[in-house]
Amino acid sequence: MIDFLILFAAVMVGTLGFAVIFGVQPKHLAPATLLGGLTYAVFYLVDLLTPDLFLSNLAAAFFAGVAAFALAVWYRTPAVTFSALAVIPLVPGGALYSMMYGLIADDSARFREQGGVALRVGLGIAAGIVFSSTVIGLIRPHLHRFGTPKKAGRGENGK
Amino acid sequence: MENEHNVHRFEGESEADFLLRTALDVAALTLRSGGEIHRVEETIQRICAAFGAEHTEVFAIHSQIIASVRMKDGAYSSQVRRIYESDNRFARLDRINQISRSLCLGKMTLEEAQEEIARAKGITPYPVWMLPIASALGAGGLSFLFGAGIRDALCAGLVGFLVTLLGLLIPKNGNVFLEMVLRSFAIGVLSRALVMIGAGQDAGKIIIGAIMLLVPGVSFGNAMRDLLGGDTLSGTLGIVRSILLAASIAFGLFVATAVTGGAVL
Repeated sequence: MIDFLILFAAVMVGTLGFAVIFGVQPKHLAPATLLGGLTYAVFYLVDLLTPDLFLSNLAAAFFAGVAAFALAVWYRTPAVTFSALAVIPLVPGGALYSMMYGLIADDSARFREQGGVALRVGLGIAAGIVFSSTVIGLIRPHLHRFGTPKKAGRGENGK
Repeated sequence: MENEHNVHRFEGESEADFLLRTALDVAALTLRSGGEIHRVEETIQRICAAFGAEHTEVFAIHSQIIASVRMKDGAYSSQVRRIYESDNRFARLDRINQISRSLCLGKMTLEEAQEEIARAKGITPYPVWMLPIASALGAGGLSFLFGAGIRDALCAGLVGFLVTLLGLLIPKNGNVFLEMVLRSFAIGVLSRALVMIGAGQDAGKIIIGAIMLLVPGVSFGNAMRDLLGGDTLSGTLGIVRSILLAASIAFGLFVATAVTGGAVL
């Protein structure tokens, strides 16, 4: 539990840093940072249940996509503002780098192994985001039945 | 390099031409600010429809937008916009999204939109000096995910700070791949140096934390999403670019390994 809390805090700090680098509006910093931490929490929990990297990343990215949409509607801003940051703790940066390092260092075993990891994680994240977009597209026409959030907009919000 | 932006209507510019030019200006800035391909295409479609276009066709990839519009009176315009660089600049994306929405709702004229687009280009929510500090937080925080302890995380933060500072001081030459080679080389050398002086414990963990600032993880994820979402060409180009960037980073670290005389990872 302590390990998880340390990682959760570290991910929040890291996401905050990236939020500033990506030029997120100051009023969006807190929700974007929290979403990064929660997305990692989902990944961590699913990873405990299954060792499959694809599934754990898919679940976390799906959560990130849905939560980013909700925040985007609330704050009347493009969903990518939140979703791009939320998946940063998931991105296979280390594996992608290690794969190419294997190629340059003529280490084909490393290239294959890390390439497979990068592909599985990348596909998991992408599938999670696409799946969340599909679900949102299906339920969106029915959302008005439950009322409109205080700052909610229509049109291009939350795409 | 950005396309020249003229906020005024050209003499003799037709309604169709001005409408499409403005829609493309909005779309191009959306793409340059980190907007998705489908958002770019829908933005042009919606703005043109809101201003009376009968038919609009759009094709966008990360480096180019091609669009044509036909008005109800038969007037026709077709324009191309080349996108030379794009970055995640979400405050600017937020503002350009508001301009797009105002245009679609009829709350803004095309002339007003041109003025707002020119203003939106200058939006920077944080001073430049905050970037190295943010980089330190990003690199240090995420290094924990790769097994770094507190000392290595602090070192990763310091390396991230210094490399971003270096990037701000060195004038950009326009070649992003060369820039990646230089930055990753600096990360490799600095990480190794911190371990040699006893500040850090594991150069590999420091490096992976610091290179999270460089790795094209977000663009790789976006490219995969484009691919799965049906934007095959855009997705393929994005993946190729991500792989080339990752190779540039790996090459820079490889050279750093050779220079420092030991395995850095």
